[in-house]
Amino acid sequence: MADKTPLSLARRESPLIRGVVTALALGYLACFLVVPLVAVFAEAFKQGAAAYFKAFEDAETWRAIRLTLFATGLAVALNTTFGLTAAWLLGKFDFRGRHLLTSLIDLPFAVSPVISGLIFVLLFGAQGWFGPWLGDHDIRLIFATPGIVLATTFVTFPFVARELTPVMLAKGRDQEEAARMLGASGWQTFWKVTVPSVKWGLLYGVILCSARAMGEFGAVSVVSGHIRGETNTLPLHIEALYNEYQFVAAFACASALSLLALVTLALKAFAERRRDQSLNQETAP
Amino acid sequence: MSIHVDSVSKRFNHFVALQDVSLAIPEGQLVALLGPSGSGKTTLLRIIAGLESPDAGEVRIHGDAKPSIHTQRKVGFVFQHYALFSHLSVFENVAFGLRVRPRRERPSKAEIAARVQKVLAMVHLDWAGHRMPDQLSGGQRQRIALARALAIEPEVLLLDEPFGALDAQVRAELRQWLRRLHEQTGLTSVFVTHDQEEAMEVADRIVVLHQGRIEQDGTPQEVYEKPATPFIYQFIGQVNRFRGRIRDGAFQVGETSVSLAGPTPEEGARVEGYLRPHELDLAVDLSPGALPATITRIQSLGPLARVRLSAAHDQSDLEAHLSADELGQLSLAVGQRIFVKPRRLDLFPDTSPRQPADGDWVI
Repeated sequence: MADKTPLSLARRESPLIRGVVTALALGYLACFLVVPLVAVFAEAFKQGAAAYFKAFEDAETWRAIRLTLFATGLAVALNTTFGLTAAWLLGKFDFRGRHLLTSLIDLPFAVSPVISGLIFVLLFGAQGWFGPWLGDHDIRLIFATPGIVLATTFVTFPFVARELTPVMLAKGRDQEEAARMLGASGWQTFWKVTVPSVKWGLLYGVILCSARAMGEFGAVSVVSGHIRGETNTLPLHIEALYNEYQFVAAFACASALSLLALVTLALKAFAERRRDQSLNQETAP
Repeated sequence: MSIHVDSVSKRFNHFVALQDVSLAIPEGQLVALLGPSGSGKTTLLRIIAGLESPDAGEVRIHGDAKPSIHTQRKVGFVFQHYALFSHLSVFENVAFGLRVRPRRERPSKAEIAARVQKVLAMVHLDWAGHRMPDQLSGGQRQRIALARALAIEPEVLLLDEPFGALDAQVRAELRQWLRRLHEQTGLTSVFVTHDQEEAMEVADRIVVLHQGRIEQDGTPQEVYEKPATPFIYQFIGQVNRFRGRIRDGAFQVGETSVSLAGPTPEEGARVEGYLRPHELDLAVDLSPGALPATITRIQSLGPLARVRLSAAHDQSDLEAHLSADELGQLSLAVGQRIFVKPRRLDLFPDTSPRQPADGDWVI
């Protein structure tokens, strides 16, 4: 019901104004979203499909894709666990330090990704605080896969928690209290009541988090060291190819990343709809 | 099981929800906790349920000081907004309390199915097992919530404004149904309501709460006929109030002196007299102890007539209930000046700020 009001209000404007405003919005979308996306695919296929697919025969490209998927998978798994726990605490309990926790969750949004990367270099790099200790124990974090996972996790840290907290708050505590009165333990209540009731919100958060993790450049760029075939993720690999004037290969990889983004977008739209439906069910009398 | 509440107090930040409340509910009783919002009735119910912990005092169910997991399971709780599990079917909602039991105590699948069917039949919703909660009406959802609470075979049933979110007709049906259910099962039951009619109709005993304290505790009849305080007089049923003071052993209201039957408060005290609309007699002619008033409205509803009046001495509103026959004999009309005579009065000290209009010298 509520989303019909703005529409009927908009219809009262004159057709000219409506036309101009719509054209502006669509033109803006075309300039900043559609044209670049088309350009990526156009550049990738500039020398034909054969040249396009040749780009994926490169072992370094595959290594970059695998590393990206690995870092994304691990970062999303960690952030889902953390995000679910944090949203559960913030959504279902009152405790001291609520506001502090909320602010801390947002911290990675406020810090530039490059700075986040530098923080890890300062902490774990050879000259960093823990560098000598790590060196003595022969552990490599910076310029290696663990550093990349760490940086990706840090940058994508807020997504699941921020997405789930409002959903948890909107659902209230009634169902948990009902479960408790029926004799369920805390563990049973969490898995049988809390998690299923927020599952679409959770999926939505996971998708957003994955999309961001796959595309992460700044922080990863600082900690990776750009070792080709070893610590280059897909975005870093694309940059390297581009800098070497291998445009077709660079754009072919970019198109692969764009395709992943489009799939994520479709999934996101689906999860978003289901999440809103489940929230509406809750509030309907 | 019986419930013992022992001098329980609870505050939320600066708001005092309960102050030193004690209550003993014997096995098998159906008790209403009645009060306006903010009176502490829901807090008391939630403390009995173990959903809140008291700041002081304790609650014992069947004599156990701290409700163990075991006694927890014997308490069924029904929430105002149903709190059904929206992702589970009606059947799974009702089965939930049985499925979460530790393996040793958990009934077999067949037993669970049989028991769920049995309680669904009790609430006349045995056809709805595979539906989702959002496919049912409010009244049906609340019956599912009841079935879910009953499935764990509780010995105490607690209901938090169970019919508050439903429309009037469904509410009236469910009230009678709850009363019948109570008679069938004999469960010790406590329900919270702000609706005095609901409390009167359903409960064996009414506990009236006001500002975190128990104001009166008695049968519906006692609470209606002998309200303990002016608050209960005004909260339960309709009431007429006369303000005045004690003079020469009688109750002086305006120019009229009303003689008193019971013990008289001390001379000169400012008092308020309360009585129900059916305890106010109307007369066309002046008699001792009758007060002049003007009729503002006459409403005839079948055998009962309601006459609204404005008292001559302070323009306060009064209401008298009489039979249609009496109304016919008096042949009253709106605007007519007649006399009202209280058949009895309950006197309470007048604690309102002093009004200079009742014959005092204004200094």
